[in-house]
Amino acid sequence: MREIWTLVEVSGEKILRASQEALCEAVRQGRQLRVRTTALVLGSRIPGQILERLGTFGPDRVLVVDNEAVSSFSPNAYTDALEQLLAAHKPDVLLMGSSVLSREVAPRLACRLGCGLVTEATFLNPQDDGFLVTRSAFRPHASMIVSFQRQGLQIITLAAKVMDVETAGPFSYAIEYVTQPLSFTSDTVRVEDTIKEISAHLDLTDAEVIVAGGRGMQSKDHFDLLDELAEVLGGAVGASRMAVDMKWRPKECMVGMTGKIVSPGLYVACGISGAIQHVMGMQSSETIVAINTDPHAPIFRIATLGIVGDVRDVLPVMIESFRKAGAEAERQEYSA
Amino acid sequence: MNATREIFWNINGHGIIYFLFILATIAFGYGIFRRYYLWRRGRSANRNDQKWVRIKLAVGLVLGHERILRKRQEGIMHLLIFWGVVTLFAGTIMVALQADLGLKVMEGRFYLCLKPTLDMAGLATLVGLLIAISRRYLKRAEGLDNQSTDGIVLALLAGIIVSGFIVEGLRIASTHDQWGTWSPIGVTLAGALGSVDRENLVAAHKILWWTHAALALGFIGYIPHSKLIHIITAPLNTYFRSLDAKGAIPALDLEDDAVKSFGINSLEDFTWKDLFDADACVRCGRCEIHCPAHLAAKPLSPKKLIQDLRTHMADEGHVVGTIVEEEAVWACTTCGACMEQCPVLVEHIPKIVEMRRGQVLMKSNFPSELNLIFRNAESNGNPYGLGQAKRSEWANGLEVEIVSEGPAPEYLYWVGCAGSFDDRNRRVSAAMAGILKLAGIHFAILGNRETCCGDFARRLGNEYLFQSMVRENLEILNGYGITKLVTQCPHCFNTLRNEYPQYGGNLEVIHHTELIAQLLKSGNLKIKSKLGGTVTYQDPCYIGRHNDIYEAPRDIIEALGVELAEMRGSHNESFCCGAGGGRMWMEEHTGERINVKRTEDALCTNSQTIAAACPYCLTMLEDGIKFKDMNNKVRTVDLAELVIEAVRGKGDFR
Amino acid sequence: MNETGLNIAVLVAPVHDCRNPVLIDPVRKQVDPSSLHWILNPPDTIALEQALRLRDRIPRSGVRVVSVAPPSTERVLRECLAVGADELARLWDERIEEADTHSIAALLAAVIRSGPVDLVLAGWRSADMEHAQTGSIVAELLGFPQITCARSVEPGRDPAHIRVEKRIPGCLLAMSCALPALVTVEKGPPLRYPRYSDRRNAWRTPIRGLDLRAIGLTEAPQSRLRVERMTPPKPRRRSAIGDGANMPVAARLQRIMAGGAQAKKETNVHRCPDRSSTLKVIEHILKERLVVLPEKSGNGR
Ligand SMILES: Cc1cc2nc3c(=O)[nH]c(=O)nc-3n(C[C@H](O)[C@H](O)[C@H](O)COP(=O)(O)OP(=O)(O)OC[C@H]3O[C@@H](n4cnc5c(N)ncnc54)[C@H](O)[C@@H]3O)c2cc1C
Ligand code: SF4
Ligand code: SF4
Repeated sequence: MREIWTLVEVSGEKILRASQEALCEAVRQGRQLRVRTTALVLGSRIPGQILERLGTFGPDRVLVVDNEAVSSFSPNAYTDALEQLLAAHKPDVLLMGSSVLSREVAPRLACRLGCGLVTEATFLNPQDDGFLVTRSAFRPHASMIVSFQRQGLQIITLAAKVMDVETAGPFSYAIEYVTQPLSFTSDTVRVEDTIKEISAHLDLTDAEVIVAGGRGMQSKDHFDLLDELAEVLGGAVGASRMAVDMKWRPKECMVGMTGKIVSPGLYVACGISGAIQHVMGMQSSETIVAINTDPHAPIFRIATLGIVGDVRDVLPVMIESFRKAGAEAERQEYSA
Repeated sequence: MNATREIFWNINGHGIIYFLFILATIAFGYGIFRRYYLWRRGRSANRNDQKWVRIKLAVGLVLGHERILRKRQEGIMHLLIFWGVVTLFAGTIMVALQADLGLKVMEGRFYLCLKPTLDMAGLATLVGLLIAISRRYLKRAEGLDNQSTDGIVLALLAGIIVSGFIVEGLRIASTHDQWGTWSPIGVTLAGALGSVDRENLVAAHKILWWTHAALALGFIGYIPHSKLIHIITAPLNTYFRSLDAKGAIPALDLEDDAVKSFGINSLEDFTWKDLFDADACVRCGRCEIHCPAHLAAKPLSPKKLIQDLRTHMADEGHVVGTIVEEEAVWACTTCGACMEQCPVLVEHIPKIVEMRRGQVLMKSNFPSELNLIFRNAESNGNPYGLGQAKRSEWANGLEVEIVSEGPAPEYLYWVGCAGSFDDRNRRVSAAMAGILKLAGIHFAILGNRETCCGDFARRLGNEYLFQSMVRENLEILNGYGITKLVTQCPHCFNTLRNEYPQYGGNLEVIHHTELIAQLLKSGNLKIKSKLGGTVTYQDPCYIGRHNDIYEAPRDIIEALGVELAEMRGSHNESFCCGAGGGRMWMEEHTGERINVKRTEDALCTNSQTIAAACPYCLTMLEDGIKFKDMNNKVRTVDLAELVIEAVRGKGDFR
Repeated sequence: MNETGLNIAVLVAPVHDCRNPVLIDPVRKQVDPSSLHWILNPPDTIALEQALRLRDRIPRSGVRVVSVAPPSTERVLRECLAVGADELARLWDERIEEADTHSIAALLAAVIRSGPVDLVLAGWRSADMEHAQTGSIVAELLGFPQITCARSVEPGRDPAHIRVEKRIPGCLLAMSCALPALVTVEKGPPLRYPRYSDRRNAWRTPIRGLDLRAIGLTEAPQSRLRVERMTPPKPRRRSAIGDGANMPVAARLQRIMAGGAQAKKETNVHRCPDRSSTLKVIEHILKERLVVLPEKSGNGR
């Protein structure tokens, strides 16, 4: 193995979290295996501080494609560009974070380049000529270990929130701009209209984070706490049927058998006992955090993390510390 | 001198009466034929087997008024009118026999006995009518809607009776009938008329006689054109009653390739008996005032449903959505209160389920929540949609035997979906397992091979799903040679016991309350510490009304040393918790919550504990208690949980 | 396509229902096939519903379901016919048992090519393996433009286009694409429930069974990946969740076997009687990244 590439997606001033995770993993592996690591970033007129920030993650080089064609959401152009770059530079591995874009680009690239692709990897085990990849299968009942059968490029996308992000510096890195001319195939896929979402009006089934309250919230007023927490976490507010019956929340917020069936990344159940009719609507959430005064509440059986406590005590602390942590993250982002 | 009277005294041209009689008969015959023609639209159904059984049952209901008398006041009212009119009718026939066939019946001793009897019958009818009028117009009793025809019927009857009395009084007064004293009312009236001169009496008699005759014949002609048709249809309807197990929904043959339409879509899909039912209904409203859906302001009234059928019996086209509101079809909890109450044995539930069948099987049109539930049941054998492989998880660590090819257990413990998957009801299953063990019963469970019994699917009209579950379960049960089952779920109980036989099942099923009551009685289960306190008990529809188990649970409560405070509406008048008939899986969008209404009844008893004997009741009442914010003061339990507390001797019972 | 309506092909896979555990053969290190509980891949069923709705709206359209699946799954696949698919083609061959996603996509593409097609719909991923590759590869192989993770698929401004809604973080995109095209579907109304009469007919409709020869191949496309082994689940995070040592609060690590959907999930139940212990737990939540704070604006593409 000589070189590991990581595709980094940027959006405005931000580096996609999933890309950061992928890049950090690439750097960790690269250091250990003593192979060169490259952060590849595509876009047009990418701000310098982003490139510098990429450097702080520790790649040996930051490779930049500055092209109008890849300035907006365009999987087709990305695929074209990457195809040509990879064919020319022949790295051994291409890592990507899991994102809307990579989900489409990765398989298309693999198909065009005739190479293997493993998606949603959770662990990379280095071998002589690449990686042995662990990923989950039949979630949550099994894991599978996958090997590549072909020589040459391996494409791997990493599952979100698995790899650590570290930015301890200082590192030396080079910023290179791709000079190779790129050609783009035409495509009939057009974005005709973009409707911005307002997170307060986010449909529950679309929310990545849901903060839900039940009868244990005690009163309508305490739902303000949930609104606040949801805002901090960038999520939406849900409710149990009891909370809806009490008229603390409108019907549209109801999660469960006869309400909405949701599966967000994070579900915070506040003062919800976990009746089966409720659980039917949220059991496939990735992470469930339950706050309840009753240590025997059935919700704890399915929760990833349970807090035995009064929502009125726990929620304000949560809001405060998540807000602080959020601000912290923001500061780090810009101080770097 | 032989006691008798001149039949057509003072009446000239009484031949006209025959002409009027023919007119009345035509009106009657035409009316009946018109309805008969409509009943004939329905599909066939065999309701004429086991004739003697039918006759025996019908006699009690018709002559003895068994059902009708359940409601004291209106029962007596009807009894008086019924026997009054029957007797008077018989009297009139006597007269006809004498006048037209020349039989000398109205003579001698018999005549003398007949006179006071008829007077008393008339009086009884009059009293009955007065009760009826006061119920209808003064008290405006629940369940009654006053239509003009009700007034006409009452007026006709009252007119006949009153005119009859006066005619008799006039006759006695004008003829100085020596046997007049045998008609106590006649002679009293005659006494009152004593001062009027004879000419006027005779003239009045003539007029009133004709009035009486015309009213009576009008009554006959009016029968098939009003609710009076029940005079004919109600007794027949009791004869044509269903002789199947009460809790069983009629089977449906899905395999028959020739059948292209399932369930009820158009009126022709009803059986003739369904249509006949509609003409037997007397609009008494007993069904309506016991219907949980109606009382909780859902758009369903069993009475209205039957009446709408009657009104629209000649219509063409769809039933659901036109004659019957779509939401009404889905609002029924199949609690059986209507059928339990109906004095003329109208069968509401089969009609509703058949309409649901039509919607599900032919139109795939049902409340949207059910799509998920049906698919869950198809993929994982339970409506909750939890993995089939997790069915027996509740028993982990409880050392419960899973049935195997070895020696068959005495009882197969059928846990049911709620007992297997719902956290709250898993605690009941654990209690049950504990009880069976303590009683030394050799039992086993099917484990992950148990599938939903199908109760909810059948009652929601998804007969396909139901039958595939039945097939699967019977195959497994038969494979292990199992014949005796115990279950804590009244729905499983009813379905396994009453509906599986339709598909070749031959199972002896016992509800856990029955088994526990037996065990307590026989001493195999001993109570360590009596519990004390008061408890109220919710009769579940599916062991109560549908299977007549009322005493076993009460025996248990007594044995536990707990005082039982009955709720408003218990035993066969119990009010549904709201979850039956598949309502457990649907949202309640309209009206009040049924479970909250029932919880209020329970709270009215001031008991510290609400005991249920059904997983659905338990869920519903517990939700109700939470909604009322009483869960810290009142607890909801299954009887099995109380029993295990008492048997283990952990008397931490409030 | 104008006179004949749309020829829609839907890729449908039977998958294991992950609400049920799988058994892993400890010797062969593979999944014990007898523990598999087949259902139709849920995202595929949503794609099928979209296809049926399109067919209902555009006259003379047809829906063909294509599946690479072993014969044992026919019972499950038949549901596609019951809900109204016009045809069901199932390809299987002993030689493809070890096929990876790419080879399966290649086989699907070959089957699709064998008939007229204007639009291919598929679920965005399989619910059991979660590869999320098949649709995109099929489109590449067919040379079709593609839109992934759609919310709705509707007739476009003219018969030669379709209109697709898709959500990316922060906004909803209304997109269009010329036909022929491939769209993978993420969300949408659930698959309709079949009428019994249709279900009964579906039992009689033959399923078109195909093998490699039928699509003109002599051997299975070469796999690019190989599953070395299956193991019981590994924690997704490298550091195991919450080692009690650095939890100053009474931290109980509970292994919860029963209840809910997720078996054998590590659960932490923390007692938080006061503010400082609550703070500790929240720190822990952040550290273990149970909660990832959102990036403030436009966090992704
Ligand atoms: C047909 C039907 C359909 C249904 N559909 C749904 C559905 O779709 N969705 C749904 O949610 N429910 C549904 N239910 C209702 C369900 O059965 C439960 O009643 C409901 O989910 C309970 O809501 P809850 O957890 O908010 O209330 P509870 O069960 O009362 O739970 C309150 C919880 O809060 C805790 N608590 C109390 N005070 C505090 C505090 N200060 N701090 C922290 N915790 C506290 C308590 O310990 C308790 O565990 C349905 C029921 C039926 C019958
Ligand atoms: S079964 Fe019960 S809910 Fe249904 S109509 Fe009769 S009384 Fe009403
Ligand atoms: S159906 Fe029966 S109970 Fe109901 S109104 Fe008619 S006669 Fe009375």
